[in-house]
Amino acid sequence: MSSALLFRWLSGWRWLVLLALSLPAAAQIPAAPRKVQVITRTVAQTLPCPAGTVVRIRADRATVRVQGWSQPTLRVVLRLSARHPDRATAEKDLILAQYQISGEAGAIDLVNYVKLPAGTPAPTSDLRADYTIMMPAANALRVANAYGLTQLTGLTGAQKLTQDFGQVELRQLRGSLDATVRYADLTGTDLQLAFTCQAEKSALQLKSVGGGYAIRNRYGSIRLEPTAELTGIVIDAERTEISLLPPAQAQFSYQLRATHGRLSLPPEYPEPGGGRTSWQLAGPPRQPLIRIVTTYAPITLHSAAGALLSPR
Amino acid sequence: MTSPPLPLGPEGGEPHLRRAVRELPTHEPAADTWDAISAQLAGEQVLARTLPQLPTHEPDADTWEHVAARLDQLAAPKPLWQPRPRRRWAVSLGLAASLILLLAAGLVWWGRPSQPAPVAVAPPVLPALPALPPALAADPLDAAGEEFIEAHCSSLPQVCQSGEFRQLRAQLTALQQQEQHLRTQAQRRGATPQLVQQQVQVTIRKATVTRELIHLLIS
Repeated sequence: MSSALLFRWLSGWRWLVLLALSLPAAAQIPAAPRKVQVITRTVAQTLPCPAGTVVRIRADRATVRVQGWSQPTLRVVLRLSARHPDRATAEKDLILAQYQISGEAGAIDLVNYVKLPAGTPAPTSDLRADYTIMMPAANALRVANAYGLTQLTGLTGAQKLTQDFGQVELRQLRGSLDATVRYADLTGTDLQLAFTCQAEKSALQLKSVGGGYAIRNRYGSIRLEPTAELTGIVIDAERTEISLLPPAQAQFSYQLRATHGRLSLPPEYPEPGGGRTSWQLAGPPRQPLIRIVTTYAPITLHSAAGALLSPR
Repeated sequence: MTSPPLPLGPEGGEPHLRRAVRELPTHEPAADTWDAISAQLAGEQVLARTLPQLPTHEPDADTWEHVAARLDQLAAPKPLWQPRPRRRWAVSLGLAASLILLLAAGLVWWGRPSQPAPVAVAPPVLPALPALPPALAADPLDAAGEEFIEAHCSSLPQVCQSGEFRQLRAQLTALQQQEQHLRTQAQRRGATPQLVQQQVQVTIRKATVTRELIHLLIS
């Protein structure tokens, strides 16, 4: 009888301890959101990439970093990851994240995708891919990415990029780049390019850029800070805000028109006159032409910061 | 010129549409456009008429003999220098061909519609950029972006519950309401340039907030 009582007392005590232990844990759950579990899988590969080989990347929800180097090979490190508050779910979903790295005659293909067998529900984890690629700088490159970051650095060949949603960062690029971006933030610095860009609902910011630029954008914004190495700008935009900061010493010819928009010029330039929305300035002959057209949104020509400091 | 009857939908925006059409800028063709077109057409007709009437030239009967003799000469050991026999028929045929070419080129050149001198010459490095696809009333990417945001809030709750995210989301909702309000106003009072400017500002801001929300989810 006493042993049974002791047992009951013990069990009661044990419950108490369990309750005491679990109380703070239970109190913590609603206070802070559950930590996200990250499961990753990494692949690394080096492929021969002779001159003339085109590198094609078809990325989805990926961070793609491509850097040019002087070796005749392509090195890729691809990390696939799944994020979810529940670790088991993340593990299960990571299996669905697939990739393909293949080098055929004349082309190297890098692809990541989600493989959904029939009847399988869509993964609830946040699936991502992270490419770090080193490739011969002068080889042709084609990248398509969505919902991610695409970073191109130190390339000199013919480049082509398509990006829906996410960020694009361009640095130290030569050669040519043909970009199609939608809902993207595109920034570029130190470019000496033949750059063509078809944009929609995107913000483009190009700093210290030379070469030629042909840009279209709709419902977005464009900010350009060219260098004296500029050979020309043609912006044919719709409903897009545009601002331009020309370099201090360089002289360009201008043709600006903001239909149903406001045209702002720095005070040292001749005024377009009250209410006028277009302005032209013919620089010395054979100077680069800056031609900007937009509608229902302003064009702002900023005064070059150094212009006031430079001796006249 | 009279305008054809407008196909009008059942939405009853007829007066606004009519007014908008009336307010469309009219563009007059340049005064010399018709002259240029008729000159071009006349030139083409002259060409078509005269081409069949051009004389045909048969080679002389002894051409083949000449050719055969030439081949024999080539086969024989070559003298160091030999004056080329002149073939008058070949010269006249060449002259005729050149004349026809000149005449055709002249007609085409003369018949071209005179265009005003191009205002802008794009720098040669820039390839021509194709036009953007026409803007749709409802951008499918708008919906895609919203869907992405919804779907990722379940897998990344800590991002969606952050203050910054909630604030942006509230902004997006407010901008959507503003967009709707402006659209109603435009339907009611017609789209003045000022109203369209406001709509453009709201749409640009909306795209920016959507990009920022997605940026938070993917970084």
